[in-house]
Amino acid sequence: MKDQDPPRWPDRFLRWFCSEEVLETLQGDLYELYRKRLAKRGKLIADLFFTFDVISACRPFAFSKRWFLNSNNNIMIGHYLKVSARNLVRHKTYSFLNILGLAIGMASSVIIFQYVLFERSYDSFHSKTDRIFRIRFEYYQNGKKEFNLASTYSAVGPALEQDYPEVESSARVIGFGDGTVLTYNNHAHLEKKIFFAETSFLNMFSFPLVKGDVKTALLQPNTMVISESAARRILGDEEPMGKVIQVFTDKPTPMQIVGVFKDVPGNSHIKFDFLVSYPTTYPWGWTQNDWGELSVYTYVLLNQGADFHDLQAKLPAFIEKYEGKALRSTNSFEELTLQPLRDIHLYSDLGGELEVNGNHKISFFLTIIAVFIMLIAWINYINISSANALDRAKEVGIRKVSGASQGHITLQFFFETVMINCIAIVTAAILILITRPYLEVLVGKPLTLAVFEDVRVLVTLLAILLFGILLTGTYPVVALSSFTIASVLKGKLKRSPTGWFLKRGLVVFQFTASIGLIIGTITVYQQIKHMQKQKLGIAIDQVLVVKAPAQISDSTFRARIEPFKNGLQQLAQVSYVAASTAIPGEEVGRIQNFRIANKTEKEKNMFRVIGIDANFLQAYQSSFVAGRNFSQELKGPSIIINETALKLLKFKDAQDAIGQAVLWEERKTVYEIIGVTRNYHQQSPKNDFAPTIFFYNPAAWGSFPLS
Amino acid sequence: MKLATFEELVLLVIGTLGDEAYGVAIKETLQKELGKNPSIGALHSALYRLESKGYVVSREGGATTERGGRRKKYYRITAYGIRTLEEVNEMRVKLARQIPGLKLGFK
Repeated sequence: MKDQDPPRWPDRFLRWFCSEEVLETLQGDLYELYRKRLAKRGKLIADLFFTFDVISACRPFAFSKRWFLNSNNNIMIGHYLKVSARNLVRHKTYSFLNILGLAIGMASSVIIFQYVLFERSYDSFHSKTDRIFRIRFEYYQNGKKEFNLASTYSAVGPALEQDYPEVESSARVIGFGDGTVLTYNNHAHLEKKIFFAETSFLNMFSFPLVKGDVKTALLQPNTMVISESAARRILGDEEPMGKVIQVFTDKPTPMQIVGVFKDVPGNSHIKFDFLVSYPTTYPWGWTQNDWGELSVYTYVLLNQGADFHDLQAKLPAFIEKYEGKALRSTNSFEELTLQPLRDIHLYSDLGGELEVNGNHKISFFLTIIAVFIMLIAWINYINISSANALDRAKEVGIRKVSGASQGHITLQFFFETVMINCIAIVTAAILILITRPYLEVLVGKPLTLAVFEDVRVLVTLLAILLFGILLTGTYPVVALSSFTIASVLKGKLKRSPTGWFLKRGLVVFQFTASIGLIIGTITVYQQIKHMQKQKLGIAIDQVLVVKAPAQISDSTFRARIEPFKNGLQQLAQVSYVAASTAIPGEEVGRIQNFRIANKTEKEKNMFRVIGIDANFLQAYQSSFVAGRNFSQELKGPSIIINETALKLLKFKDAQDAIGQAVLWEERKTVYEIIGVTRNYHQQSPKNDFAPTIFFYNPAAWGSFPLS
Repeated sequence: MKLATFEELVLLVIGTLGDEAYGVAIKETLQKELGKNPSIGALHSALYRLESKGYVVSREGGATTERGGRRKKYYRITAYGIRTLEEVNEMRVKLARQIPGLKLGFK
């Protein structure tokens, strides 16, 4: 008989939604039709038609009456809404404070969460992100750590790929310093986001090409790929593929565009508009298989399932194999570390980072602050509502006298909570939208609402808001609905001791948290003020820096720079024009080896090197401990050192150092120390004074401080 | 509009079926005579509307094994229902006469 029955689920569904009176005949008709179809056209067709008919019958006429709320309840809900709205309007201050408090709390927390989520989303968009690692470089000398870098030697990547099977591929990237000049159709563009990169870079990371072949792009020297927006900026509506743009590398070089990629997302640790093919750099000599120059950002992709800790453990042997001898001869030591790609933005703060990174501690504290702000807002709401409760006690009393049950009163107060929360949510959303442009400027990042497109984030936020409604709704509701008629009517309202305790506890918590946040803000403010007041050792207030576009060093340059400087000098407002390769405030990237000329190679040390002209130290009003400044009529090659460098070279005092010969290892040239300057803060006062050596470079091209 | 087109058809069929007008029979007649194939849901919905407007009355009976023991609901057209059909028809004829070249009559 079972085969003769209609399918169970539709039948059940029919019984579920149908009212008794309709069900009898409707089901009868359906069964009858089913039997007829079964006999004529088989079970499958009959089942299908039965299901379809059931769905077609799912109309209001058939619905069971239990779907329409009992009319009395309907009226009561309307009544609650009306009373809630009236209450909001009547107690204007109370509602205003409540809604505003909640809205500001919600808006602040959501904005902070948004920021934190953005920070945490860095480099998560690459499909192989968990298998990509950057090589971090650390250098020790005489047992002391000298520096660390985000870049390394150009030989490291290929050697790792060759020596260890778990390394699937490696990709090398070299920066352009402060950017360079691109020329197309005689229009020059100063572009900062430009790198040299290997083809493997495009295959390892997920920067999809819109045009061009990812397998062959960037293989040939003098080719490049370009972002969609950069293509529009430079080429307008022209088809970019195959176009030739002049790029200043070490000289103007024509580069052919072989690919167009989608703009790099804001949450990438490396941001670029142009990638020039890596083989373009081969003529420089140090970019292929070199163990001297440390300017190559190197990424490796590990095999699926390979543990990076295993590879990490093998790296000391790797260094020993290639560099052991050379390192021992100078009593130094190197360390390579694999940095997981996703950790770069929040956990890495090395020399030569590709951009100013975030900080995981700050993200963490921001999250805590966001949570506290939300808690404070909720507690504030609870406190205001329960303070208001006394005023509402009479209303509750009258309602109870007229026969309202505790459930009715609970429902009514819940309605009010939901209403206030909904208005607060809408207000918060408006606040977020209004403040977003200003905050983006403040933070310097796109606070995209893209995180809201993530379903998980949305669900979490909604869950938090619902939780908030429940939390903030429960206490006042319970407190209010529990008044007994007798006590209300007698005018005696006593709170239970537990309620008292809870309320005081909440107030104390609220104030503690608020004061904590305020103290934190003041402390940070004071600290920043303190740092700003620190003496830097140089005068920067009256200095204006002109940034040079790129490292241009063709033959005509020296001839052109002097007229430029003289022209500036003639302005009445300018007292000095100077030139240098690095300015105070930026990290000195150039690190070179020096030793006193008559000591052994073991005594050599690493120093930061800045090229300056004769006016530089004067322009910054830096003072000398001993010796003198550079001047036009210098005899031999000479240098000026700072006090930390003086100590590192182990001179007795400044006078002692004057006239001493120092060997610059990389240049294999002996320099005479002609002066010692006082230390000044090249970077933040948080950093130590770095040992620094100034050399004379009247054609230094980088920046022109005017003072 | 007193009567929707589909309702009118259903009402006509109920009138022609006399004492045998119940869900499945109405549906089959609609199909046979007029080539309409309404879903059972649409049909029942129309029947309920007709009943609530007073064009038909219903009685129950005729539970068979075929129907799993469920009773049928037989519909019968009321005097009001017949008058409404007449009115609708009259109005239609009146309008149709004004169209030149349109022949009214029975084949």
